[in-house]
Amino acid sequence: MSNEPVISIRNLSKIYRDFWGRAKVQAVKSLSLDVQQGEVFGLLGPNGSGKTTTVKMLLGLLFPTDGEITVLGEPPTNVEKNERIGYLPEESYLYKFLNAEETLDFYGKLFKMPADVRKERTRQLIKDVGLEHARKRQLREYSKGMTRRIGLAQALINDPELVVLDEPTSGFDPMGRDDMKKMIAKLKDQGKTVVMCSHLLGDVQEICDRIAILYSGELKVMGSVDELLQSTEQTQIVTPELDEETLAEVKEVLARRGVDVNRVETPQATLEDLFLQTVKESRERPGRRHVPENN
Amino acid sequence: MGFDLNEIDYVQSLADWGVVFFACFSVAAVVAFFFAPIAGGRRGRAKLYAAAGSGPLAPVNYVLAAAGAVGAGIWSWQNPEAVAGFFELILRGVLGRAGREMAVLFVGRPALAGVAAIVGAFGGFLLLPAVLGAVQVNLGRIWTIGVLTWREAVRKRTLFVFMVFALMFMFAGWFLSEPNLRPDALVKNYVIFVLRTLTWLTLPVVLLLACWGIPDDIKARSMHTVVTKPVRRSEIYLGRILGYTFVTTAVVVVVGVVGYLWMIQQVPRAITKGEVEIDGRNVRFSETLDDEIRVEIDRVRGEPDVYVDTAAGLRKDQPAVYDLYQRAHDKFVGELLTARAPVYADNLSFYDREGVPTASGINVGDIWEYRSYVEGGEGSRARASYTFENVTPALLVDTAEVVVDADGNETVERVRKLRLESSFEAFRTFKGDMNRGLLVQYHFVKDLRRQLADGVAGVAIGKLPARDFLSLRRDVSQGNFAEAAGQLARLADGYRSRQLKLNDEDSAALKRGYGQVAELFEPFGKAWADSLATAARSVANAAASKDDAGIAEALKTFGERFQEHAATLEEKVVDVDVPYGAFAIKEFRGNIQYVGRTLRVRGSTETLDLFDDLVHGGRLKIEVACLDRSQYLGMARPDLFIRTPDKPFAVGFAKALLGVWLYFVLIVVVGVTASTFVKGPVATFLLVFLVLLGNFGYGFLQEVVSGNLKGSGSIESAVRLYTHRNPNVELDQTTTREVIAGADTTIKGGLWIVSKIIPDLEVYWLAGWVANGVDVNWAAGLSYCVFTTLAYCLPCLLVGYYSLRFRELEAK
Amino acid sequence: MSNQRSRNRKLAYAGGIAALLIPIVVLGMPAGNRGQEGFSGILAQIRADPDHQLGETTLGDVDPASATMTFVLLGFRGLAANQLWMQADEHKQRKQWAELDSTVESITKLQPHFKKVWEFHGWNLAWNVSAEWDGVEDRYFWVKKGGKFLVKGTRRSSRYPELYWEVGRVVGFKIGRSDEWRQFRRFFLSDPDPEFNGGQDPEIAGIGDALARDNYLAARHWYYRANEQDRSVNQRMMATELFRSYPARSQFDYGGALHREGKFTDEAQQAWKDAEFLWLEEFGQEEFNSLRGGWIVINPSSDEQLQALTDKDDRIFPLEAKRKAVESKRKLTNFDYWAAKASSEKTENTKLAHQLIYAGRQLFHAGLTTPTTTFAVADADVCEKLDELEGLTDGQRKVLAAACEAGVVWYTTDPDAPELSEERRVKLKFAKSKLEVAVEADGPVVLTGDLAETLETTPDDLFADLLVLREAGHLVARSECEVVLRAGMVRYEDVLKSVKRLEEDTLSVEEGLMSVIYLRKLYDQDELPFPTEYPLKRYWDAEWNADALHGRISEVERMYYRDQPTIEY
Repeated sequence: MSNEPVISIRNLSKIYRDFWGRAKVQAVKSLSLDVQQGEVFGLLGPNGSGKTTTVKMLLGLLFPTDGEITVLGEPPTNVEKNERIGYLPEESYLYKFLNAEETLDFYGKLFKMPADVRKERTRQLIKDVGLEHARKRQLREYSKGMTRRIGLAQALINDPELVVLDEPTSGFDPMGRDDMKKMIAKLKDQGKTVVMCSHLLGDVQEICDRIAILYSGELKVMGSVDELLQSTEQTQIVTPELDEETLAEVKEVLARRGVDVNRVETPQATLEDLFLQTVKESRERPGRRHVPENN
Repeated sequence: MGFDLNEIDYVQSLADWGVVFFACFSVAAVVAFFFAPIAGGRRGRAKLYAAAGSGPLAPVNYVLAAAGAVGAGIWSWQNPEAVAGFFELILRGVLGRAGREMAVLFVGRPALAGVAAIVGAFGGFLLLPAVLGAVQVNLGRIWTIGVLTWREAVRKRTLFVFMVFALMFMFAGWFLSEPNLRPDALVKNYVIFVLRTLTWLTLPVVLLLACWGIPDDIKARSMHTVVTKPVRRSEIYLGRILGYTFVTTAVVVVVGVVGYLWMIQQVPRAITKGEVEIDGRNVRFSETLDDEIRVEIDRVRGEPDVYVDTAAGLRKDQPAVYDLYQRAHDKFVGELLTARAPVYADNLSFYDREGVPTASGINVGDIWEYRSYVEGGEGSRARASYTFENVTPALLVDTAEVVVDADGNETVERVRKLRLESSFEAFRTFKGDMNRGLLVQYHFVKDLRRQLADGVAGVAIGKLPARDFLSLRRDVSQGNFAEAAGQLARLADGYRSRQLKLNDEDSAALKRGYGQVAELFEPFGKAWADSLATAARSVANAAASKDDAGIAEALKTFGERFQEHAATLEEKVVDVDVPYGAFAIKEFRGNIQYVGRTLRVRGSTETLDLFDDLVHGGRLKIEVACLDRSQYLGMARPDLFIRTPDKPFAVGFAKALLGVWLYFVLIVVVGVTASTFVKGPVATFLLVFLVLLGNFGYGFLQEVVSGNLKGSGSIESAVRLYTHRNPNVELDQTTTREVIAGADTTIKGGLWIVSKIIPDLEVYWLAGWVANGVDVNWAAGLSYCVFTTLAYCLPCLLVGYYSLRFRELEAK
Repeated sequence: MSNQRSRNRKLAYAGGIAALLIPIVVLGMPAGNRGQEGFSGILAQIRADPDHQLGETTLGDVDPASATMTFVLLGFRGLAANQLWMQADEHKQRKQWAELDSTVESITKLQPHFKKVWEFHGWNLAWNVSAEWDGVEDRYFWVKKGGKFLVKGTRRSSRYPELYWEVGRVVGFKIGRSDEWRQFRRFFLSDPDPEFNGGQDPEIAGIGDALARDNYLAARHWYYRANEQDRSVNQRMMATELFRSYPARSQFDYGGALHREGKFTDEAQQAWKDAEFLWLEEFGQEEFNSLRGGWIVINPSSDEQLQALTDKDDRIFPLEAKRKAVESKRKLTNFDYWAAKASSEKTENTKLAHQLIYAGRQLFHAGLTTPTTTFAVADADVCEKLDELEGLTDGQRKVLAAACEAGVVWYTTDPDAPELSEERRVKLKFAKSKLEVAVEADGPVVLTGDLAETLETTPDDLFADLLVLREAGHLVARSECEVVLRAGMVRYEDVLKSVKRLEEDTLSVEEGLMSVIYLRKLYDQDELPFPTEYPLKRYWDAEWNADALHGRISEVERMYYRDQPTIEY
């Protein structure tokens, strides 16, 4: 794999002008960043921070007012490079009157994939995103989650090298988000480069290798997730449940070393873990029900 | 059969079509060359120049461009008329009247035509790779998007328009139930009903689809998922157009077929009476009030036999008559529901009362100057002369003729005859014998001697003759060719000794005249004729180059040829005028005359063959005279034609449908193009305005712009309206009046541009032909539709391609 | 708490709705069957109420197509109608008759209750479009089309009496008085369109359930219907008295037309008798409400009748005011003239005068205009003092007496006289009681009159006597045509003299002038000097010196030339 960055952006800026050409919004101010091959890059920032604008400029949907962008070595407006890109837009704007199969078949045709390959990939992707039950139903009748799933499916139809995901995990129930995270992880394993912009920090933290945080069009923070989150002053040790004595003993040892212990607590499972756990159990043993005491 | 067929244009042969398409392409390329940089902005310009110049093929481009240009230049140099032809048809589509004037510029100016062709060709070839390269459209993707658009239209139930059509056809009876209509009017109503409903009901569907396709796509941002695929914006644009064209084609085809079947089934039932010629006999049939059937069969002599009985009764007692009634009914319906293939005269000229050729006849005060009139009666030698080109026996039609032998019984013979159909208009100055129409007489004329006489002196309608040659003309027309030869020799000496000088009119006249003389001799195909032809040709060329010495020489040789062949000229170059029958016209109907090949010269047993003796070099001249004293007959070029075997009605109807289809394709292309740079509602408004102006306002707009419309400019009229002054009252001379006048001229300039941009949409309405049972003529009907759509497609494609490309797909 | 309030709100709304329903029901209830009064809503009653007549059904039968079209066009009906009117005119200019037809049809669908629409297009079709066509059958087709269009107008908007009147005008005046009136009247009885199998077209000839025998009788029927309708919704086209007089006028035209066609039959005389009756008794007795004289009758039988009408008046009108009103109405409708005309036309003498003039014209066209062997009395007073004439043998005196008595002597045995064949026979017996001019309907006219039967002389003596009498100036050689024409003119002169009113009527005088023109043409043909004394000279001179253009003579002359070739004899 050439060590050239998949995406390189050099002091990119974008000014939105109104009808009369007067500058209205400075969405992006001289942004420069690179995305290396095979990494999952997170683009974070509050709403209106210019992350979606940047993504759109990446994909050639918007034209930069200034600065240079090369994606897979080509300018954004180049059409051939799109063969190797997959894009899941914010809300997946797909044609409501097509059903899942027809949608994937349509996009497949756009990549001029031969019919049999197209059929196979469509079947496979629909299975992967878990939409077999809704294969024949028109997208008009899909829930938000299902639309996101088909959106992802169409982004992966051409087995792209670079996948751009805009808020991939938003609109999902926890299990959905979990599936999505698993799928992105799978993409990473397949060596694809993933660019993701989101404001669900939990998910980003889990998935992304490197992240960039934008605020009002400027790049504030960039680096690998672990480094950034590494609070060098503190160390966290997670052990199975400890009885009183061992706990006291540990505290003693630390005190001897002159280390004062900030916090000792039994780690609280995240609500998400609880939720996933209960759903998994109820799927295995349907019929068990929690009976409130006071009836 | 009075329908207004406007004149037939120059473009005839296949070569011309080739040039036409090539020209369209080069015009478009030149436009792209200039237009693109403006639209594309800095980036677009760089891209385009690069594509044109760079790339491996660059040198080849230039060579190709140069070669193409030179070839086109030479070709155009030779036949400027063809160049004028295709420029006119292109420009007419885009620039309307101005297009025609501009095109006429090319006639007779080979140099100009050559240069225009070179510029066009060079531009075309040069930009060929650029335009192609830049576009690099992939048909597969266009097709995919087209199918997507079709599916979208189907799933969004836009095709429910068929429901409306179904309703219309079911209740058509209400609107068409006009009881006492004449049969041909009935058919006209049906045809016009079907085509008008198709046009005006499908229009809103197509228009809204086209205008809202892309904007909806952008607003719903579904375009983003497509644009991020390896899909060029132009492919989306073309795909949309293709998709909506699918929709249009579906509607037009289905409704067309249903309408056709409905008509084929309804019309026969609606026709209850008629008159038609079966096996040489005229049969009149009609269902009577007390629903019997009345059949009248004409006999050659004596009263027609009449049968009146109920249908059942007739079938029982007179099976032969009943069968004849059925055949008559079917043939009459066939006569109405048909597509005539008329061969029209190439030009129509007139002779006034004294027999002097004039360009047009008399105007009897009709507002609609479609026909000009010829005065009848012995005193007047006024005639209309129709000249038909390349008349061959293939134009004959086989028909039946009743032959009465000695003892009066009638036998029916099948025979091949020339079928002439006419629809002249009568204008009576006094009632005269009202029980019959005005009498018309055809004259089959071969006036070789008159043509030769006119030719040698360069005489033509509306042109100046060569004065010195007029006495020569008199000798030739009187037939003493020997004397004429002497005249020629004297003229030759005159020019050689500089007594006679060639001025401009003379040279133009001689060039034209002797060209005609050459054309006159060539068809003889005999040695003597060829020698005269070449001699004449040399005189013409000498006259063209205005060299006195050359003309003297040429005239001398021509004179010697004359001398040499005086006898043959005497015998061969004659004027023949064979009058043919006289029949009373029935106005506003097709009066059909069958003319046999052999014509009997009145007052002698000598017979002439139509083709051998009267057609000369494929040219047949039919002169039409009116026999009623001081009554007038109105004639227009389409009023008399040779009616070759008819084409089936379906052919005519299909061409009319094609016209409607092209109309919708135009709407789709312009609609989708508009939707690429403006939002849905604005595009719709633009289209509605275009349709309204194109259909109803075009004529008026041309008139306003051409200035021959009475009344003052727009602001001045507004002032007059406000101050209640009628047009011919002069406004008081104040400075404001100058300002108003100035403003008016600018407005008029603006209107001029608008009138040039707005297409003439009435061109697509070909129902007039089909309703009158005439096959849609290519040159005067369908070609306009094709070229108007083509003329608008090219710029629209360019605008659409560039505007979608340089537009951010962010719906604000 | 909150749903308490929302329930109250809902109740309030329901109450309000119920309250509003009541007026709507009262106003808008659909009309029940007319019988039960008070059952239908107020609006329905107003609509049905005769003097408002707003309801679609009351305006004429409802046409579903027109209802849908007006509905579909929403507010743009006027605009669409304008467009169609302009289109119709363009079609007419471009002679596209089928398109004109359908455009006019859709105009009526858009504006079914506009009087002007029916009037204009009916007239346009019958007059202008028919004039554009050349064939006579085609012209008749379009006149009929105009007529049928107006008939449909009367059905679609039955309120307007003018429309019935217009139908009458097309069927009566256009068919009866156009240039092609002979052919049109014949077509009226046997239609050229094979569909009617030689019979009449019921839509045009139909009067109620029967078919009219003549276009003027059909016109009369329509004028009656116009009057009927005028009684409920009065027309604003012309004075009511004139409007109501049209049935009688149509009857006059019927009699006149028969005379114009040379049918001097009993039916013609009966037609004139009916005309007189209709004029005097029916129209004359119709009551009109005049402005200054209250209710009056144009032809009151007596003052008592006028007096009896006062009780109908809302104000008191003295008898004198009524009589003056009657006088003005009579002048308005030219009542006395028509009364006089009818009374004179029905008499045998006037018929004879017309018949002779007609026969004279026929003979003129038959070419019997050269004075060959017919002799007539030089002037009438010779016959009075027959016996004082000296120098005459009794044979000659007898011949002269016979000539006076028979009016014409036609000598048969002259070898080169055209032999007397069957078809050239007009039995001219001037016996005071009857003249028999047997002019076969369409056949040629012949002349006979054979003195020989009544005198016992030999042909040669007779011829000799005739020559002598001619020299003596008692007899003069005259062509058959001149004889008949002069006889007719003499009678016509005393008809005109006897009825003073007739002299003022242009048509009557014109017939006289026409006969004088024929006489002049007779003499011009043989380059003979025109006699200074001739019947109807008084009227000719009056007209000749009326003004520089010789009054109506040029007009009559033009009529003479216009009718020349199509005289059907």
